[in-house]
Amino acid sequence: MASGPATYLDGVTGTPKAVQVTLKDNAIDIASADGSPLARWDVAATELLPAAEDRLRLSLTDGPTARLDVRDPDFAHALREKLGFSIPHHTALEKKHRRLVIAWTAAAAAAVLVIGITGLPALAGLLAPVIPYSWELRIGAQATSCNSSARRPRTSRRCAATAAMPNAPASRSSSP
Amino acid sequence: MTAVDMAPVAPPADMNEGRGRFLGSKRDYWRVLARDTLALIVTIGLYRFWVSTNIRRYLWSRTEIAGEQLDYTGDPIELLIGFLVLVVVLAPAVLVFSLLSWGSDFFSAFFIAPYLPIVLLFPLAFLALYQARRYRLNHTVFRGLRFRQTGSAIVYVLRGAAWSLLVLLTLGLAYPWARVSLERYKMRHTWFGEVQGSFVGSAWQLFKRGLLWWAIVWVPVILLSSLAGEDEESAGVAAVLAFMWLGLSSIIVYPFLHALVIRWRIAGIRFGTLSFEANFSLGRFAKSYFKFFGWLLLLAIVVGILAVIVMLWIVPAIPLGRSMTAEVIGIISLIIVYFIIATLMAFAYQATVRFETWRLIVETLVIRGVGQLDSAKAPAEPAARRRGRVAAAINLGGL
Repeated sequence: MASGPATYLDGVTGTPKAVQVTLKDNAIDIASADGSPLARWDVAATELLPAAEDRLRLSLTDGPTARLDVRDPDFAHALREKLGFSIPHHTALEKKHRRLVIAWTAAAAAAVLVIGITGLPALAGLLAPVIPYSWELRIGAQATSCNSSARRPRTSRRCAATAAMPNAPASRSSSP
Repeated sequence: MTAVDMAPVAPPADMNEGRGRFLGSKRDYWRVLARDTLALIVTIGLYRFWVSTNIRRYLWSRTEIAGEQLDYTGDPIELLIGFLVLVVVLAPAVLVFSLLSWGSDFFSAFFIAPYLPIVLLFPLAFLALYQARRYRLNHTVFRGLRFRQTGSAIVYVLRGAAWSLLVLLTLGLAYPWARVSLERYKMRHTWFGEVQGSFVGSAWQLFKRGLLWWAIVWVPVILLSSLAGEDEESAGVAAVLAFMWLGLSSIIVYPFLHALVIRWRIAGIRFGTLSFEANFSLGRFAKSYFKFFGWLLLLAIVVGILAVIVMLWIVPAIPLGRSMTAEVIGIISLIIVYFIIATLMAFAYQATVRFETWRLIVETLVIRGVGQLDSAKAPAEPAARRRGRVAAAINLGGL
């Protein structure tokens, strides 16, 4: 059984209360300075929050925003040991997440490559019959103007804008 | 009744006054940053939601205001989902605009059509800033009570866009009035528990303090343009000089101006009878920016030297020739290099400006009317924790 001083914030008012914390039977008993009980937290339902070194900050995993703040370094250390919280809850989760994100990124990169190499040509074959002839001509004209202007660096920047203009030379040929 | 009787019974100044304290260290903060850098590069930036969450958790949990620390309860998965939602919304919009400008004479008649997605990004930035602030506040717990932001992001966008136009037309002189209008809107919709915030900063005060800095940037530019002669050559020289001065002086003036605005904004915040003050020196604030600029310069030099070495000696030595494989490898290498550079730039910003200005503000913070914090209560209905996901993902803005 470990017991020591802490600050309790009940999540209902903004007043910090000086309390006495006792750990027994897998629960944290929070009592006011005069000994009257304020709350009882089940250890399984508490989590460690990030805090400055030598401090211990606890909250309930699912519930209001109540906080328990232990600032006595010795008691914080003892409580941490007894609760079995070596690292904050989110740090353990984070390692798992990091691996997952890396794996998903690799999968996404592979998917982009596959779509680029095989998917797009297949899609183009499917879409070609449904695209209006005038659209095809415009896209073709834009591609041609981009290609030719790419060889002339001075005009290449205006390529996209020129192709989109109705009176630009590239678009004039669009009416069939 | 005597005069003494009528005087309000104020608690002793020291009882009702609190200070800010920063409990972290630069070394620990760098460790948080460095640990995630590799993951950020490998995941082509996708890991940024975890990085920004880690940074916030660290800064919040090491910040003590009037004796109590802050808690950040945000979730990187929510930020990621918000980002994906944004992609799902934006991608079809861009696609539709491209298709319309290809396919229809009517639509492409507006020369703006191809740039419309970019024009739309401007109000989107205001929307993102407001929503990101909503997310940060709704996930900030202090003294066991949640902050929250209400109000409409759309109204904020309209206000922001209108004021920005006016600021642009007045070369920045209208900025203090724009700032007051936007701060009032934001603070009026900010709550600590059930205590409503407000903003009392004066635009004139900011105008008077900022005028000198404004003059340093703009007076030489205005003089140069008025002194330019009739002939094209001297006008050209004057324009080049004016632009050079505008760029150079902005880099030097911006950090000081930012410090000035932050100090003024902090002093204007109210929550009931609670007020703040952070009288840090402008020079110390600006120093963190100059460190950041130094890092960027160093990075540019190193990247420049490496690029020359790669182009002159390494690329010609690779026996691939001009093949498809060579092109694909080239593109992939460029993407990786881009992410490495972007990550290092972000790292430099977080390590200098973000960390040092945060620490400076917290360490110089004075809080008056702490009694207001004790009497604050949680609102009857629980705060909407999940609001503001979408734009929070863009992660714009600092504090």
